[in-house]
Amino acid sequence: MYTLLWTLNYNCDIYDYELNVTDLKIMGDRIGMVDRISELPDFIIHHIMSYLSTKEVAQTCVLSKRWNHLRTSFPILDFDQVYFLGDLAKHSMYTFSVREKRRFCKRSVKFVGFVDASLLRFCELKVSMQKFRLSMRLFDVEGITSLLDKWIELAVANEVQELDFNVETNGVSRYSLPATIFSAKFVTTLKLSGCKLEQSSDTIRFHSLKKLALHSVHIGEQMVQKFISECPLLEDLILSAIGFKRVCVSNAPKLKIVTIGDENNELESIEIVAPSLQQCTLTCLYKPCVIDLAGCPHLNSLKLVEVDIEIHDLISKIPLLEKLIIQDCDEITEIVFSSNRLKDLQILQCYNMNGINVDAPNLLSFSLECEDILYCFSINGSHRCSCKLKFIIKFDTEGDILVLTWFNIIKEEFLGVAHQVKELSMSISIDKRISLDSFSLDEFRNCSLSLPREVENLIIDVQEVPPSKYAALLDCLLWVCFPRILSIELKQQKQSIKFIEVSHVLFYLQLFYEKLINSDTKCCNSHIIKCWRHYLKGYKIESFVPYNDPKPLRVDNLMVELPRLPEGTIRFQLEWCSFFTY
Amino acid sequence: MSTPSSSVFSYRVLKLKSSDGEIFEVKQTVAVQSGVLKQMMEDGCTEGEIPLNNVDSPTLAKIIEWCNKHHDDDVEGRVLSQEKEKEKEKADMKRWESEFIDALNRDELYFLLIGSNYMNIKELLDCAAQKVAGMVKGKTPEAIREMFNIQSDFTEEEEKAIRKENQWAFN
Repeated sequence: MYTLLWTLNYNCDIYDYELNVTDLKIMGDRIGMVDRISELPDFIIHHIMSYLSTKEVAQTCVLSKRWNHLRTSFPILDFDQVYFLGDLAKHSMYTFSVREKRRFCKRSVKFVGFVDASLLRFCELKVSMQKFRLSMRLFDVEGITSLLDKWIELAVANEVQELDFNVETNGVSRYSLPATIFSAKFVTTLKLSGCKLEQSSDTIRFHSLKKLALHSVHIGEQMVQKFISECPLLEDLILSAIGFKRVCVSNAPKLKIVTIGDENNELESIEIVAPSLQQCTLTCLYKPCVIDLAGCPHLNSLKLVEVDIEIHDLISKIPLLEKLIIQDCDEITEIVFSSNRLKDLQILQCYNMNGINVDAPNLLSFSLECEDILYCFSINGSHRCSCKLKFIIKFDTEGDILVLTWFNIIKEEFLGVAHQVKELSMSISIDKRISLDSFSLDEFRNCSLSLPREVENLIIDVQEVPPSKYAALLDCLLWVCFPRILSIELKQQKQSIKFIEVSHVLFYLQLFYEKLINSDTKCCNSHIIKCWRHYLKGYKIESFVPYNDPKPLRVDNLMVELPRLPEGTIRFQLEWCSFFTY
Repeated sequence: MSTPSSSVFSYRVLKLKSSDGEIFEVKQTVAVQSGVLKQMMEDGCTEGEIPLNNVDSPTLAKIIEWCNKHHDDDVEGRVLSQEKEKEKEKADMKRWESEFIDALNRDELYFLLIGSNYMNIKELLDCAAQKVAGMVKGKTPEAIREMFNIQSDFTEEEEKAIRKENQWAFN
């Protein structure tokens, strides 16, 4: 085939010199530009197209007749009204003006016509449909119901494997799915959103269904039950539907992943009996909701969002649990439990938490994000356990003593208990009205007598602190810990203020660094443990996070460059004297 | 006939014959990545030379290079102690894969698509298909035509009509 190409090369005669190997390769590339790609079998091109966006796929239709056919026969049919709405897509339907509403309807008619024509053209080819996705918003379902029914019928008749149907209405009338959908026996993934599934006595024939997702679908308790018990292969269930108070999952031998959410704040109990279940995410809004997972002996990953339950009772019945995430649970004030297998524990944004006491000898990773002070903290994990701690500290009513107490608690309670602190992140804001007279290193030294802790990365996000207290803040933070990396966040909001703040922090850092070099550290004479100035050997900029290359930043011209920097994080690498043998 | 056990597999080699008559020897444990060869092994018909009529020798060499690399990574019994190491190995493999694919010219890529599909090596086919998709991404139809030398066989009116029908995709 190569030889044929050489002879076909009509441009060869312009090269009147002897071709060397490189030339041959370049020419080969150029000559190789016969239209090979169009010669590939349909299914390989379709495979390539499956990596493109819906829009990009649609654009290929103008390439040539062959490509137009390839597009028509592409078995992934994805229709999204958004592409037809243009600027209207950004706005909520409920705030449309009369004119906008008219434009919306006109464009929607175009969209519906396009979907209908494309579907019919595909179905004429009598090949099986890999995927049918429809996403649209409507004012009124009445005029379009029969058309939507027909599309589902066509998809089912063409052995659709993945059906993703999102029809959002203004809430008064919902599109009610036709019973034909239950005979989609080839469907492996079914995602429904915004529609309604009426009580039905029809047998559900989803013999191949592995993944079922119902988002704000109006569906009754019994229908949920029916779905679960009549889909023997179901592995992944997502339920954030409306219209029921109890979820009871049973008779699901293959179920591995369950995600249950409560959109209408009406869920009263969740009971799951699934012998193969491994992963479970439950979101129950505020209402005390009964959760029973005792029938899931293989559960190893659990995420609880906005729940109000006794963690201890729940965990004690899940012996194989390895990963636990507790997030946004503002009702929970205390977490006390023990778990033998637990490896990963994350307690995030539970803002009324008062105490954590966890005994998990195999714990390898612990993350905590909290706002209020935890008066009781104890984590007994593996000696290799690494921690990520994030504190959002806001002082707006009480005085500086509290600030120092806080820092001390972080140092003694949290850093003292943790084995390896990978990340200590502090977002600090101190109201201007608070008197900060005694906020100084000397005061802090008096209440915290121990050595600073070792921390891999200290992230400081200075929200609001009186500039006169920057030096004290830096002193205190570096009395809490000696970080290998010091990260300072630059944020776009209130940009001008931020830069001044960062400049201050940097200024002090630089000042003290210079002092150190000049051996001008006369402070701390009467103390055994001296301040950080005595131990800092050197510092340099490790990176500026949005940039891959730290080159544009050098310590000595950072002050000049600072105002030009985009949002990001400056990471300094600090080198300490071998402090612990000092 | 009983299926040979995997311990027998590891000591044996298959002789693969490319379309231009070259013979390549490949360990059975490497060859199992090809769905076709795996099936042949299971059926016990891998004696002698196995002709691969749709794969020329440069392409077969590339395919074997891929399989060898991916086989090395899958050695059984090697336990990676840390998640971190696993992630690093994964990232290294991804880098290797993209370097491998990026080094190919259009023709080589084309023959690799054909060859990996013929031999049923899913990961390689996916990787090559993604590469082509990446070349198409973000380009206008005109640029795509030029890149792959696709000749439009539409009349001006036909193309206009098609563009109009798919107006939304060109906005």
